[in-house]
Amino acid sequence: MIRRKTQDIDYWIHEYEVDEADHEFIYDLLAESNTPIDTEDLALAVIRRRGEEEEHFLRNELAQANIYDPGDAYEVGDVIYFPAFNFHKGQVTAVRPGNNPEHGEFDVITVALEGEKKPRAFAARLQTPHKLNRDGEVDLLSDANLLAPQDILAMAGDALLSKFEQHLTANEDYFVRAGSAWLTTDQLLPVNIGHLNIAEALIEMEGAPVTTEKLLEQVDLEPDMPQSIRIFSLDMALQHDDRFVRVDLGGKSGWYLRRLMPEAAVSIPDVLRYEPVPYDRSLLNVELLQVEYELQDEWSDTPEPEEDGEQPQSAVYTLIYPHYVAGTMPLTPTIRRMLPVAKDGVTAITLIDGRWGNKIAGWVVHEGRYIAGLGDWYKEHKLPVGARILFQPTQNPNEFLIDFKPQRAKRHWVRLALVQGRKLAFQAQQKAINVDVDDQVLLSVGDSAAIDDLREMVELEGYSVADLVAMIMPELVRMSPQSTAHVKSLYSAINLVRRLPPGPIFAALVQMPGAVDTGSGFWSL
Amino acid sequence: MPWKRPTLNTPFHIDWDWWREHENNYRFYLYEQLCDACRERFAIDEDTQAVDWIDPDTAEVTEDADAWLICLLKYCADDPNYITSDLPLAAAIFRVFLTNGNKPLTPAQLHERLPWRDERTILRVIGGRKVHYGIRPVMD
Repeated sequence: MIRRKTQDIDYWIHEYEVDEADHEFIYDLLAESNTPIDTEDLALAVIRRRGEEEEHFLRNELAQANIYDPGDAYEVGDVIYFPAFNFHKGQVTAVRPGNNPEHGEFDVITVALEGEKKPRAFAARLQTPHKLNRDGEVDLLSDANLLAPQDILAMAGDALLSKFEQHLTANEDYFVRAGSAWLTTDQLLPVNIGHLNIAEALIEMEGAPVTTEKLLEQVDLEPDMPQSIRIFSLDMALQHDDRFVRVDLGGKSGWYLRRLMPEAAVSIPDVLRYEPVPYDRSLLNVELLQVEYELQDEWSDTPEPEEDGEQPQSAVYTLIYPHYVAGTMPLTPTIRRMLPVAKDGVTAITLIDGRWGNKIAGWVVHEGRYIAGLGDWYKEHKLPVGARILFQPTQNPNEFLIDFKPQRAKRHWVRLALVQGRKLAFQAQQKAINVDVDDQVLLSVGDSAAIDDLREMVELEGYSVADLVAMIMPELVRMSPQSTAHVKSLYSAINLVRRLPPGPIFAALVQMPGAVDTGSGFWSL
Repeated sequence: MPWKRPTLNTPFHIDWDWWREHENNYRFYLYEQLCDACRERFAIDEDTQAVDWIDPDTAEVTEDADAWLICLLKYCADDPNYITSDLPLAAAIFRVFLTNGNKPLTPAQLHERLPWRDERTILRVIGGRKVHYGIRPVMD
């Protein structure tokens, strides 16, 4: 059977480039379709077209060609096409008797293949059966096992799609993109500032993200044009206007106003930025791994829970300082499983206050691994760092309950973090706490501006994790009557000045000279 | 050159010079190492040392090819039962070298391919004064 280039996945991954003909084909396809087409469908159309073109070429060529068959006899000067060599053309330059007792009497022909310097030798007049014997077969092109364009795209995957993405993005004079779909620049409808002002007013009135379809009901944008082009054009204009932010509404896309969103929903706050730190995980003993698991830090290297197809019923997280000041909550591995999956972008959800029943706009920032929009809720309920907070799905797929366990006000010894000179110090302070807390994570901050300055200094001066442990651990140990500190307290305290998951902190503690594990998560120096 | 005791880290290979010096019928040994399918294909008395080998996929001819060696590399090596614990150890080692293109291997590396025999046993068989199947340490 004939080997076709367009059936070779390697060709699509390594050799294929979008050429002028494909560019024009894509342009015409978009222009004629009158609807935006996504990258995947454009790629499929090109694969199909290339396949058809190759078939057409082969049929034309084959109609007049002498196709090589090892069973045939050839003479010097014959021109032959070699199916096993991608239908390369070659000319016979010599014929001699072959020598191989296994095959009996046959010829060996020397062939100069087009584009090759060294001649090759092939069998001819072969009496024994060979794969390339056509045995009267006429239609060399019929093949039930041909890969469909969908199969080719599935196998070539992202490597091929990115070639199309790159080409279309590089040709912005011809193509425009909104989301994953493309249109030609000529098809875009003009969207003026008046249209955008109406959209802004409408979103503000709604007080929630609005889909483009809904915006179009009010924005008078060439109603005679196809709806998909109107949506695309408005999407494009909104995308290029800083006032608007595209958000995911649980599978549907919508628009909201940047100024109405909490800062953490628009960009990742510095206090939450984690730069992965290499560390030796084998240093963590079972107890430290257990504490790491309990802390459920969103940046921990703990293995993802096994997918059993069922959504978790609830999750509890312990509030740490970075999330407290940013007004965010972590996307712990369990919480992630309750939410729509996305690598980046922002998903709008509704949080229901379990105490008062209020609805709160929540913004899932996938890249930053957190949900923004909780700043006021933490303050209204006077939740301290260390509070244990419940997150639970509701019957409505886009609504989630957020709650804490109230307790009769009880006096707790709280570590009050202070900045003394260039380091962090702690004082024990009695405080009435009326919610369920993790005593080891619990802490309060005297002067948050001073903590900000210290965080900046730690970053500018490039403190390592070991430096931070060496700065903070002795201070924690000093304030304990037993001269010990819990690893959770160390994690909570270090996160005042640098966002770090437990793993690298614990590994640095294990390596700290003089640090001794006294059991149950407590360490002395 | 005085004989030096090889170690677990000494690389070995088939020394074809040894065959030329000691055995003039090495092709008989080669034939013995062919898998059943290849033995059926060729008779032992056929002249197969320099044939026009026809590629089964492309029909391209390799001139002056040793049909048995090609068979060993292309077919026998793919047979999962070609090298098994039933074979005498020296023959199994010989087959390892035939199928890997005679790339030098230490007893430790041979043990990875013949896990049923430990590396010391392998060294004892091929590292002694008696040479089996021409398998000898690689000379610098």
